[in-house]
Amino acid sequence: MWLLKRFTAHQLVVPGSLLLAVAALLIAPLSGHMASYFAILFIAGGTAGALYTLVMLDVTNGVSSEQGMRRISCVAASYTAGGMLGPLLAGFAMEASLRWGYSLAMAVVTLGALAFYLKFPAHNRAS
Amino acid sequence: MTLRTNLALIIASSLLGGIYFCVVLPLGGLLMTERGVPLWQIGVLGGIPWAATLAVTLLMPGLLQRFSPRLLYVLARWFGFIAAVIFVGSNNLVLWALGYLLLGLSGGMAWVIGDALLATLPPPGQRAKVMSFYMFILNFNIILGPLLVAVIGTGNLAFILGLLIMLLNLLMGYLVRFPAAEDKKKGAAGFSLLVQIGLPIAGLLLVALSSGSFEGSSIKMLPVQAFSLGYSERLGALAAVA
Repeated sequence: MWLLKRFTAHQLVVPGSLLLAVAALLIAPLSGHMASYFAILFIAGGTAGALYTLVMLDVTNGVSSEQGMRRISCVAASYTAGGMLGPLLAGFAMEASLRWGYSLAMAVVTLGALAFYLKFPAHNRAS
Repeated sequence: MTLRTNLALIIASSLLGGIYFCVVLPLGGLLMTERGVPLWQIGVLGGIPWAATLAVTLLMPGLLQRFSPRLLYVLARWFGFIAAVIFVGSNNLVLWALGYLLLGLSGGMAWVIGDALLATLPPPGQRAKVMSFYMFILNFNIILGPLLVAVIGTGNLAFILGLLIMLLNLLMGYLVRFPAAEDKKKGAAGFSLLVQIGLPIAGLLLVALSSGSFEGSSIKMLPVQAFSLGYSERLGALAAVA
């Protein structure tokens, strides 16, 4: 909330994604120490939730209520698809390496999404 | 009705729907385990709400093209209420599958419309504040739902309480006020409509996917990782909440 008073949702998507990727990568090395492990999980979980809020605000920025609903339905579908695919990917990755699999899988997904976002940022075009 | 009251109603309604979702899923799973239902069947049934949510969110742009948001919102609340009636009145697994399906449809429809109203109704300067507060409040679903099950137990009382929650939610669905209807544009339908809406925001959709991917896998896989790394079961569960 404090950040959103100073920056637009659009400006926060890139740092938010980078923070999530870094936090995801840090889960593995910090998993041996309980306090650090839970602290980084808390940060990563909070960042992932905040990213969803930022996307919601960004896609509805400057559009009508009905257009906003159509866009949000696409965001909700994408988020739900992620919720279904994420555990599948994490499961395979953890099979390969219990400690590093989860971290690497989530970091790759986050950075991949960020790269795509940077390539196609023209989200405010009327649709 | 003031804007503030309307926003409070939408947030409260989403919270109630979410609490019921988080009551019925663990409760259903526990009851089926007690009845000796095979784990794979419990898994399939547990996946129905998510699949229904995904399907209905994909269909929502087309539905919104044809029907008013108010009608769809009220319909969503009816689906939730009917699901609650099914869970109170039956032990039949096929009917439970129908209940889970209705619950998923209800959740997906109300999610899209509720979020859109909260993101577009407040004046632009207050939208971030409203959405942040809403997201903060929604976290209580995950805490309050399983907590209710833990306090009340797996008897029928939890389902009856759930029915009352969904009745209240249904009434709230009728009270929520919507902005005046806009002219419906005749245009693309089906997959073309999805492409038309999704393409300009494709980058953001991928960011939402990565966020959902992390959230989904943290709930299901982090407890497994924590437990396998030597932490206790309770700490494993805490890993998902964190």
